[in-house]
Amino acid sequence: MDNLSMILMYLNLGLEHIISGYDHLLFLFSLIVISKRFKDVLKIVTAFTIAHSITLSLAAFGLVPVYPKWIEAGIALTIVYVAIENFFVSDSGWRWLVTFVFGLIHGLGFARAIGEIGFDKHHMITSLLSFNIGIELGQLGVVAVVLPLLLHLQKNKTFYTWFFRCSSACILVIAAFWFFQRILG
Amino acid sequence: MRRTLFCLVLCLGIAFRSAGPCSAHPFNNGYTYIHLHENTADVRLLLPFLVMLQYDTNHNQAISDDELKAQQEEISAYMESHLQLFGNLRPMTYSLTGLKSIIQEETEDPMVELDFHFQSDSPIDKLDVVYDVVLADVDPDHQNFIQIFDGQGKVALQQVVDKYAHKLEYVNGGEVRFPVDFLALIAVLGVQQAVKNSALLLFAAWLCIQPVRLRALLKTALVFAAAGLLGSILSFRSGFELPQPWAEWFGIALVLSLAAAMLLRRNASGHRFAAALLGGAQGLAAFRSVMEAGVPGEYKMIFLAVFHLGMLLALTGMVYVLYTLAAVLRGKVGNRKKENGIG
Repeated sequence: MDNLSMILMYLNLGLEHIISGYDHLLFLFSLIVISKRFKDVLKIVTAFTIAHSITLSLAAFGLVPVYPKWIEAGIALTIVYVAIENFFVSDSGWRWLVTFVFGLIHGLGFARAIGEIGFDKHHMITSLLSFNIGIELGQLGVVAVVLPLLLHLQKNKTFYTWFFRCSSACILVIAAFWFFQRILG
Repeated sequence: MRRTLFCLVLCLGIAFRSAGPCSAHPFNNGYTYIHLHENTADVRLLLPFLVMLQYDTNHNQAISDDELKAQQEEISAYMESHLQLFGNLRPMTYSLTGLKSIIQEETEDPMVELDFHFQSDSPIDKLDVVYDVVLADVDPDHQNFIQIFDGQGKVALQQVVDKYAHKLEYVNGGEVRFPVDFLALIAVLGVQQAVKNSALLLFAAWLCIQPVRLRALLKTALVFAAAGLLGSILSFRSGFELPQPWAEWFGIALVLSLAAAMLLRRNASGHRFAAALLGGAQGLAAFRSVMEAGVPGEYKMIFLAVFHLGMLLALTGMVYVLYTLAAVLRGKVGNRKKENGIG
């Protein structure tokens, strides 16, 4: 395979993984649903990117062990936590910190997802970087679509209050279900 | 407060109802590792339980080694006719060498592992793989990631096979290149589909008679393209395909109802929402045509993005031309009114 084929294939894999990784998307959504400023969203997305890149790289080079069952259950728990927290906080200014810590767990989840295919051992850094860029592009694409919608909905405060509570409650239920499914399954 | 509580309970109910079947990741992907030697190919095929449940005789949603052993002949016959390898265009002789239920090491996913040995009567210069496993009879949305390793154990080819592209071709020693020319062709296909689409042409015309600036219209075109891409992704993930004529008729009905609303209410709000609806419908319909054009499965997202970029370019072009025409016409009508002393 030539370099371009390999780069684009891993980029595609990253994109596919994030758009069909509904748990990562739900996590991202539950994080930004309370954001009122673009600056806060930028901080959250950056923290998530840096954190998951760190653990994905460490796992790819075999420097940290990956225990799929526990990591998947952990990812579900991170969503449960953020969904519960959404009922008690109104400001997202400091959320990047929580995102960074939880992003480390999600990075291991990304490493697990590519386990069956693996990175190209002869082009480790290039394939890892391409996969990561694919994830970032997908993530930014999702934020670019969701954020304007959320900001638009926020114009009607009464409506947004119940939308925000209902969506957080739904996220909580789904994530709790995933947690038990993954831990018992 | 009551309304909030009612909505909260309703949403929780829906979430409980949908939490059962929903899953965080698709679990119907398979993996094939082909180690190519001079005259032979050793193939390891991993299939998730989800697509092998037809062999689950005790219906416990799991496949045991005993169940596999009891049905080995049946499975072998099925695989022989659904997974074929050709060496230099001649069918290779097939034998099933292993069949067991495993927990995949890296992911801890339960899977069925099938090992095959394929023999060619001459050194393999060209390998063709025809993969029809579970696609036609069990799960049309199944996809399999195939990796071919050369004699040195290096990955020589990675390709995705699915219902749209179930054949793979590998020339021993040849370098696989990304089809850049084909990417340009797919962008042209996007332009073509947009230009030929009467609903889109009507929508562009409707947009241009709105009392809004060109910049706002171009943003609407961007919303259309983004919704189109989302629609195609939805089609890819859910397996739902909207027939192209339906999407077109839906678009025409949408534009006509927008025009009727404009005449009745004398305002023209909601063109972005309409663009999102129209784009989503076109995206749902376009996925199939893009894949049937022969897009390689391992680059599908990139090709889909380029296809919708082509549609965006075409819609932007249409809007620009029609807007300019509308502006010229408005200018002429304005001048005539001034000459006649009207307004």
